[in-house]
Parts: sequence; C-alpha cells; structure tokens
Amino acid sequence: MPTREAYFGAGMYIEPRDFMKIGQVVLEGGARLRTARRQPRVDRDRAVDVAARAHGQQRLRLPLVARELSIPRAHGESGLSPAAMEARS
Amino acid sequence: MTSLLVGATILNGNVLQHVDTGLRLPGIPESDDPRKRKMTVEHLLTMRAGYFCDDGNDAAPGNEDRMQEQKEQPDWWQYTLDVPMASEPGSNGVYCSSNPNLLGAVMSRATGTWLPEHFRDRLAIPPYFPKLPYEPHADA
Repeated sequence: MPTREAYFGAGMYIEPRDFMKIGQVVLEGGARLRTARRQPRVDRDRAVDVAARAHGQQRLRLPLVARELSIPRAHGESGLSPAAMEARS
Repeated sequence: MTSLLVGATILNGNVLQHVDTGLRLPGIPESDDPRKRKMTVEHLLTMRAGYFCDDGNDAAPGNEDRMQEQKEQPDWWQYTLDVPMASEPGSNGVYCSSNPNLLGAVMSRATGTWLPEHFRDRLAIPPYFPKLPYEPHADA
C-alpha cells in the first residue's frame, strides 16, 4: 500500500512448494508444524495429541468445531464471475 | 493466506480470541454506523462485511480498482473503514478484496506489529516458509 503496509487483498508471491505446505496444513485439520521453542502454553493446553519428532518439531492437533458457513466462492480473475469478466472485456 | 494468519494470530496470542471478535482498531474512533460496529473478523474473512464494495462493480466505492487508483486517501485501511454500508454484516457475500486487506489492519494494530513482521513471527517460520512470501510494495 502507499503507506508501506503489506496489502492483504492480492499480490502475494508464493512458490508451488509453499502451496504444498498450505495443503499440508489443511490435511492436518488446520494444525501446523512448529518448533517446540515457540510453542505457547495455550496450545499445549488445547492440544489433544502432541507427538515429538526426531528433528525437533512437533505435530499439533487441535479439536475443531464444525461450523456451517455460507461464503462466496472465488473463481476466475479476482473472483469475478464469467459474465462479469466478459462485461469488463 | 489471510485466513491462515488470522488463525495463527488467534492460536498464538491473546489479541484475537475468536473470529466473532469485533473490529478493534486502536487509534480509530468507533464508527457512528451501528452496522459497522457489528462487523466481526468472520464477516471480513467471508467477504460478508456489508460494505458497499464489489470488485466486479466499478461503481461501488469499495471496489478494489477505485480504492487503488484514488489518491486522496493513501491509507487503504482507512479508505475501507470510510466506505458506506450496503447491507447488514453477515447477510450478503460479495467478492471484495478490501475485506481481507482490512484484516491486515486488525492484526497489525491489535498487535502493534508491522504486518510482514507479524507474518514472519506467527506463520512464516521454518519449516513451513523458508522465506518471507509477503513483500510490501510501495505502489500496490
């Protein structure tokens, strides 16, 4: 942004390998790998299964509460519908 | 990615407790519009904030292109906060890039941390992200 803050609306540069990491987060139910040093106490309290790994990282699994959300689906350029894209062009 | 960082912010700190948290932006007076005061983190995450914003409608004041092309308000967070409401928060989903962008303000101002730094501290630590994927731009 002009104020030098990061823009969260778009424009992120990310490599395919990072997408794979995001996919791993999804497959693990939203949990993520972290180093033990950065593990805050609140996470330990909420964790239901923490298994130490040989290389010093941990798998953290958190209970998830199923919630039903109605959300817009992004598709096409900037989430525009095909009709809107055609109208723009 | 914004959702991941919001989740990491909730998980790792005491600043955000839940996605039902209202928008708390230190230094910004509470809006006079009661609908804006009802707005939550979840509404922004799901693009149901209710702002008159539609990236497919150039006439919408919150439209991303309009926001980025105007020069009067360089602070795009404040620009979005000033966009008039079109619907009740949570009632209508419209694709609007300024919704997730405003979450950057929520996280940055709530934590008092520059966003790239917050991203690095909360999410971009090895082994998930070996380098910082967010790069602040002067013109975007």
